[in-house]
Amino acid sequence: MAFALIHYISLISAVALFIATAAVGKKYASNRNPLTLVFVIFILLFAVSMLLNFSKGFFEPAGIEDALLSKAGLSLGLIVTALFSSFLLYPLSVQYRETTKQKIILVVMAAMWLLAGYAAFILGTLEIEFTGVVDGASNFRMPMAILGVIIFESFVNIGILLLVVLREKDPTFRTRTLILLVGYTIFITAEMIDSIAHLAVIVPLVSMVGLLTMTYGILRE
Amino acid sequence: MTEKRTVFAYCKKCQENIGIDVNEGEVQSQSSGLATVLSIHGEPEHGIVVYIDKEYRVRGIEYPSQLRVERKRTTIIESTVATSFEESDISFGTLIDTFGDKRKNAIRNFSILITHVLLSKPIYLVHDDFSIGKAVQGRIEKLFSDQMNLIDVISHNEIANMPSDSLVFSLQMKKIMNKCVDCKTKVVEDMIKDSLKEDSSYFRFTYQVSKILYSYKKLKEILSEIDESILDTELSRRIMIEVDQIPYLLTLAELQGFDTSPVDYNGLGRVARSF
Repeated sequence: MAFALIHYISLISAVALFIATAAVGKKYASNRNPLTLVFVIFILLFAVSMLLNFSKGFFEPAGIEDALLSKAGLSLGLIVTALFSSFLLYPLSVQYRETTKQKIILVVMAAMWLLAGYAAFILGTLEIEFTGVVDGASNFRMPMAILGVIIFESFVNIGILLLVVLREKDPTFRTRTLILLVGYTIFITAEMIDSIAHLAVIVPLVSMVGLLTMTYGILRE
Repeated sequence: MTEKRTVFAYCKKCQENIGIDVNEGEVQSQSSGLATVLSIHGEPEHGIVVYIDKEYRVRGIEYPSQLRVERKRTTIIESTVATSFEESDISFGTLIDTFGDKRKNAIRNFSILITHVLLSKPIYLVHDDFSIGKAVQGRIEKLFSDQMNLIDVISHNEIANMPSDSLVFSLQMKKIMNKCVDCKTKVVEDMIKDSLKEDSSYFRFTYQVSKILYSYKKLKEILSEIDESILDTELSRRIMIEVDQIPYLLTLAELQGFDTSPVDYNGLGRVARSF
């Protein structure tokens, strides 16, 4: 076992996200809105990916188990991002039903999943190449195709969330979405700086701040 | 800082929902689990005592038989008459089961009945034992706080003579013999299911029905006055109902001849309201 600070930070993030999952799940039980269900799955997968990060602590860094868990975590990251895109784009497609805009939105949604599938294929065939261990956590060379897909799709998601915030007139929903947007943006920033080796040490902290902000936005009444 | 919330309670005297501002801290700090709030409103002025649980749901309403308000001093309630508080609860599940052999079918059939009531369509309950039919009729009318006089009881021999623009339901066969409205009733089915989970299920459903009646009335008012488009999220705020329930009410309004085209679906707004 090689637990380090990063693993405990992942555990804290996972617990916070599981609490958020329970809260949104409770909301789904009362409103039975399919959109809420998609959000429950999104936040649950996020929590599971954090749990996978935590479980790396049970194994030696840069070992075979570490490589498998890293691959599983990245796969979940791809699914979570594409799922979040669908969650944000689907209501827009309903809004523009029977128009050309709807077709464009549906094509974008399909493209998001195709990109995620392409990145998952690369991930499946990839041999994880570890570059060292920083503060108890292994570092590996992130394939740009995978990182690029996650970041591109995340930016699309951030753009749509920003639109939601700008268009929303009800202050309660605007504030909650704004907090979710800020948290998500912080988290994506952490993913981006993860590829810069000398900033890797602050990544877990930035990730945790982002995820806890997201959780706060979700739990806020 | 303690925040305020508005809880809606149906006042029989006003025949509409009354918004009551409550202090979150005070509601949450009640050791009994129920906060008791007195609302004085209306013209002529009258009062209702509302019991609110920690989830901000109305658990009971009492109507004081006498209320004396001394201006700039105190409010004195001399006595209260309990109504709609628990006494009918046991029978809500039984009432629902009267409408189908299986609970699922019963809920579906009862939702169709409620939809017909909302559309002011006549309803004929068929039972050869008149007293049983009347008992069911009374129970349903109580749900609508006796505001509706749309239900009648007939025998099986009379079915053929009933107008086609009505709902005819055989309580003995537990089957719809005729219906004049065909639309999705999931919103009402969910309301019934949620109410059945509660201890005071009959009261809970009465409250839900009063809410939907009020919102539907407001929706029709807005649709008759509106001359420009409105987002469904804004509409849900104005008629005080969940945005997910809007499509059901819009379908009802369409069936009653209202133009619902000015109501636009707010995709981005739905995102913000889904988590």
